[in-house]
Amino acid sequence: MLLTSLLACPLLGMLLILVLPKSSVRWIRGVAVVATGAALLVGLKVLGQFQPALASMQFEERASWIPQLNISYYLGIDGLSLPMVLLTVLLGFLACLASFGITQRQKEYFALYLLLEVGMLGTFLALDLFLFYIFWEIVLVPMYFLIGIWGGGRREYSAFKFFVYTLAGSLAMLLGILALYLNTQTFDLVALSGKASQLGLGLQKVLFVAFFLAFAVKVPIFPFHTWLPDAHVDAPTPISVILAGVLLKMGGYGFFRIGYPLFPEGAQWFGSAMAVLGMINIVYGAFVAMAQTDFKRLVAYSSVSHMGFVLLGLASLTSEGLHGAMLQMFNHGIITGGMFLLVGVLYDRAHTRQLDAFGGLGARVPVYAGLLIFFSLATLGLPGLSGFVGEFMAFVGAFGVWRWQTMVSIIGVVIAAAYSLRVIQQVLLGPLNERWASMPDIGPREWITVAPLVVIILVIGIWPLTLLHLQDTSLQQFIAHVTR
Amino acid sequence: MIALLFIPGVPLITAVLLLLFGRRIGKASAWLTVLALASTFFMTIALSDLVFAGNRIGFSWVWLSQASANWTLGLSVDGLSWVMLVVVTSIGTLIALYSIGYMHHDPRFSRFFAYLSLFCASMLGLVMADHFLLLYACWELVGLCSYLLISFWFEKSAAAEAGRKAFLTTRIGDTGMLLGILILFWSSGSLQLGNLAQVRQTLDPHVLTLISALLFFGAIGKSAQVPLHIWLPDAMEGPTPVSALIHAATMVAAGVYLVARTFPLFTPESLNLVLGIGLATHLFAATIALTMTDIKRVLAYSTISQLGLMMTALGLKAMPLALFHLCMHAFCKALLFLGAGSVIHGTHQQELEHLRGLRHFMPLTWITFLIAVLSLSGAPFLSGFWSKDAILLQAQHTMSWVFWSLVLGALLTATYLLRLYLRCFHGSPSSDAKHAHESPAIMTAPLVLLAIFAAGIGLVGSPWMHHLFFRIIGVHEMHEGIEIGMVALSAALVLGGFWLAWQVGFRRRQLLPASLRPIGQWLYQAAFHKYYVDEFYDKAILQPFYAATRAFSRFDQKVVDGAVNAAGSGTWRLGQWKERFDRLIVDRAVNGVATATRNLGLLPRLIQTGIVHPYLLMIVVAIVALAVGVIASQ
Repeated sequence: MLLTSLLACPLLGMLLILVLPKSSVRWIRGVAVVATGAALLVGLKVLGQFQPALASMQFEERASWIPQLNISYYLGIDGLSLPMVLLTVLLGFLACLASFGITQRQKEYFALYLLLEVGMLGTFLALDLFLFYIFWEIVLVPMYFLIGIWGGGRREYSAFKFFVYTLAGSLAMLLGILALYLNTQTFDLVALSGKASQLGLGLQKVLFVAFFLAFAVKVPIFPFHTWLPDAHVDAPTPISVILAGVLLKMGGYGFFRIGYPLFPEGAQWFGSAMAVLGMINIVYGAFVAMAQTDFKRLVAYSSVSHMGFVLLGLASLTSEGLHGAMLQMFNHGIITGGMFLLVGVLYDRAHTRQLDAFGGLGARVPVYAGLLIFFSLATLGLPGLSGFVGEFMAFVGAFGVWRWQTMVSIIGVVIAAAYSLRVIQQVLLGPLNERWASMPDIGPREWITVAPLVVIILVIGIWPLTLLHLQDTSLQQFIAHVTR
Repeated sequence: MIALLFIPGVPLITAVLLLLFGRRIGKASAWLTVLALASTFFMTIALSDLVFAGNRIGFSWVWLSQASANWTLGLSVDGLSWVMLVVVTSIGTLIALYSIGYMHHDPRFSRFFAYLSLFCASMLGLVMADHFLLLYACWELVGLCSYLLISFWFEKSAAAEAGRKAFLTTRIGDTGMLLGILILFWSSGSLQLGNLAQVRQTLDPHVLTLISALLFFGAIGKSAQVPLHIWLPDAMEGPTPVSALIHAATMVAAGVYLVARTFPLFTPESLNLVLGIGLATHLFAATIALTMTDIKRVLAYSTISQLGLMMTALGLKAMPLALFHLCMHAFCKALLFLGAGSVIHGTHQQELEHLRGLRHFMPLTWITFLIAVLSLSGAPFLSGFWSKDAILLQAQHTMSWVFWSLVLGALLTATYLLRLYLRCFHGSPSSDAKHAHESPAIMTAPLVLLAIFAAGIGLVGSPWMHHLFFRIIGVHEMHEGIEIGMVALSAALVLGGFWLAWQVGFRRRQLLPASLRPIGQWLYQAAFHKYYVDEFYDKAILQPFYAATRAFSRFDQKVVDGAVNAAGSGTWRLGQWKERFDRLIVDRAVNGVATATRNLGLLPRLIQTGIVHPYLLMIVVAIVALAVGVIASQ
């Protein structure tokens, strides 16, 4: 029942908030923090009881739901989903703390926020394709309102774009799911990956592409990425954190859970395209990021670049590459999540995100400066910080298989350094812009949201085995299954 | 030997402590740093017995995956890295000591020492790394520290810009190195540094050439060789002790060390590349150094030139000699920079025009600076002589054109160094010089200590001490005895350099005949503007790069996102059309049917009036008509 209770924490929180009166903001916040905090604790308990040496699903729960169609409520966790679940509960909790800055319609906000967490956790826990699809779609609804109501700028446009774009991708997936069911009569993901070989190559290709479209919008993969900068820029800070930190991972996780194991031959047929797309994401995202003048937009495009490493590692189908891809998903969530929190801190004080409006803040807000430098260095892949490990392993894995794609991708590393240092320089260095002469340094609540991320970045950067050993067994099985 | 972890560990922990609690520790942070670095020095010395016995001490730990032995990182010390450890720890300690005086008034005092500690820790990790990945990691950390220290006074835009330039330029080189590592991993499966000689046996020579050339590309960036040399002269925007550290012990030495460490991977072809780049850099930078008017810039170009000399030695397959020169140069250059720092500290000037006749006011700085200048110029029996002499000798035995190029280089070196020396310390004192004062003891003490090294440490590589240095790094066959001819040549070069510096550099005599003067002037201008390399890069690389990023961004907005929006608005328009179609055609058709039916119904209404009389009339008429019809038909 551990996994159900994991889902229940935010769900009960949401229900409780719905019955609370609108005016008792403190209670609403309290319930939200307790609910996400409880989810975090349950997540840590799962981590504590998880047995890394087992390749099979753990903590399985199964209940028949719609027996006529073989649909069941089936949850489980393995080395591929555990890091994602941990990422979700951690960022879910921290972004909840960061949501204290929301000043209007808190009741609706936190209720939707908790519903969002239910959807994300469900996506990572579901082992029934139908259930997976439902959770996948649930995520869209609260996200649409969270951006559309509490966002800034062209928030309605961005929310609408996000919603419709993702829904369009999901449509392809829905067709794929139907086709899959008609051929196999089951929605059970574990059983489906066993039946993968029964599908003909032609069908595998078609189905892989159908699922690819849904995941590609989420990751996002070039050229399906343009909803991302708009949604990021206009979303409120905590929602940007969730969007970059967790939502994008749903796409990458989809490849690991569905795209590759269910259609191994289709995936291999698509391998070279995947590698090329990864390369384009890395280099193209970096180039576009370099030209941005809005801080949040820059970070958004750096996300496109960083998610390219996931594709590159995935396409390699080597142990190093897949470890790198998984690690990169986790790291990107932590690093970019932290980056968005820091952008939010700056925006709360200055009410602008234009990079050239700042300058010289390094002496004025030293603690904030230290944190921004730290996260920028993590973004550019400095060894000793977690970002490096994922990128390096993705390179190592991919280089043996996709030679020139990897070589071109290495350019992205230099450009990443260029835009990260540009951020540091424009915000922190140079003479102080007198407009900000009285800007206060980062406060304790903001500190608390960022500090755990700093620790995680350091721990994984120095001792990556902490995370790698969780996923090692599952990944080895994954490789054996896909490349069989 | 897990204790090896202490050598990079102690300064690392110091750095972390200072970063976190620097403000509370205050001035004591400087002494903490000195203590930490000094302790690493003594730990290094404690290892000497093991290293002299030819042992390779190390220890390793599993890093990425228990399954694969490829990712077992380790630290190890052999003769080569021990020598580097001695240089880094001794010079690092002295520079930290000196910085106590130099940085005394700085508001970010403890932050400076935190970075300094981290810098040394990274460099120590780099020279002890036993695995390419660890080496690369430390390599990047060294780059980071140089960035932090060069832009230490970040309120100055120039300093911020210089730091960024250093980091990015070296990172371009690093990508080459990363690629080399990737190829090595996929072709040999091993990234251990300890067994490169075996790896060499198994690999195809072409692959080896490629790998070594790519690794060398990393060294080009780090060691500021042509064409990636542009960051080093700007790096002088950092505090002067940082320059001393970068130019002597850490950072630029890393590139030479990398080539020395991976020397077994180099093939004749790639060594020729090393030779060509090294020699070109040696001469190219020396000519620029002749024309610079900023005391630190002269020294910066001198460093580039000397690094070129080390690369030349490597290209001549004389790895031990390159390393020897690296060490000698480190002591001389640290002393020169600290001396320059002392001058700047005393006069607040670093332009040569404002500095004259300082020898009267800063005697200790004067004497120690002179020793460093003479030593680095190769004056016989000082430290620099032994290393430079050995390289010249090696060149003479292998390629004569290289030898003569190096002779020219040595002459240029002596000339620019003595020009710098004469213009700083001789002549009638300038107004700034008159207010100069000698630096405090905490700064001059390191100068004196370094001067002793700069004068005498070279003996460890001389025949007089039976080439102790070379035996430490594992080379036992050395040419015994001193070649008188070489001594004479070196002396002549120093004297020649002195004469040139005196005539042209100091007394500003025109030595060229009038007919050649325009050419001379033209050459001078070219060198003075650093051969316009920065301008060229700006035009040929940076501007196109920025233009490309803007073009990509526009493409993203207009084309990719434009397509999405076009799809959106297209759907919208389709909806409108459909609505219009519904309204104008479907609706009208439906309504038309209805109307037609209704209108059709109007026709019978004309007769269906509901009044009885017309109905009766119709019946009568009909009956009559029927009757008439029936009768007629019969």
